[in-house]
Amino acid sequence: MTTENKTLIEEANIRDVIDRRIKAVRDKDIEALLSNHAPEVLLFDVVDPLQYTGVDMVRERAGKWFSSFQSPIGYEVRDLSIATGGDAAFCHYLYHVSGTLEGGVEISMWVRATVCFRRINGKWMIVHEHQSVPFNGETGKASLDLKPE
Amino acid sequence: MKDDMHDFKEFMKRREDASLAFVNGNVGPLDDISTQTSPATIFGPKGDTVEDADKVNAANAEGAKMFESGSKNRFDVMQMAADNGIAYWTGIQRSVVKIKGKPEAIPMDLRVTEVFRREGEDWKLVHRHADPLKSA
Repeated sequence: MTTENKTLIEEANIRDVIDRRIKAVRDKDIEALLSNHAPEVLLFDVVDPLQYTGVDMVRERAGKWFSSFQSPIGYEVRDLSIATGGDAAFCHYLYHVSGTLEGGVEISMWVRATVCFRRINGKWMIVHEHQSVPFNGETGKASLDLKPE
Repeated sequence: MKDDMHDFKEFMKRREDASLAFVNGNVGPLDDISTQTSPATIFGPKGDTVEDADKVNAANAEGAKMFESGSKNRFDVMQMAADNGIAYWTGIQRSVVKIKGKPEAIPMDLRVTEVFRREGEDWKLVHRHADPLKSA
């Protein structure tokens, strides 16, 4: 198999992880969401605290997030870019979250995501995620209403 | 064949030096370790998303102009990995920056994830994601 073909296959494998992630969020399926998270995963989320360390902490956070919606969660990914090495890979993308929170508040926001992977026991596992929303330096607040060009 | 992880750890000293130069107004060392070939991206701390190597390097050059000498900077690395031409680190970039026109130095702490690819013998920065430690 050529190096180029190997690269294409690995990129497809990473894309598959992201596709399953999208489905897991839309289904509010925590175990499916975490099926590719390494035990020692480090998450920089859009909300406090500064970091979530370990899959148990990420599971707790995901559960709270899913249960904060009274509606289905709209979750759309765009501008996915993937790069793979031997046993390391990363991707970045923008994602759009929409829905109705408990209490009736409608949300519609774009988030920037960078995800780092290691191949562990032959499977691509997420070891780090960095998610953020734009930040307005004038007001000191997150800018939740921006849209990609 | 080079040991990517060992090599990348050594490179990270150069990366940190480049960051110190940047917050002192000198983009040169950062330019030296940044790819000149797309794809390249910045997810910047103010919400800016910059794509393509030319635009990324232009944004870096413009960004460095904000700062002047006397700034301090260090990386608190939380994770680092390198394998077969791809590498990344993540952690906190802790800076105290002197911004042109401002009398006082300002603390600026960022959560950072950076990705590199090997180009020839060198590691080149291809993606930077940074956001303020206290963003909301």
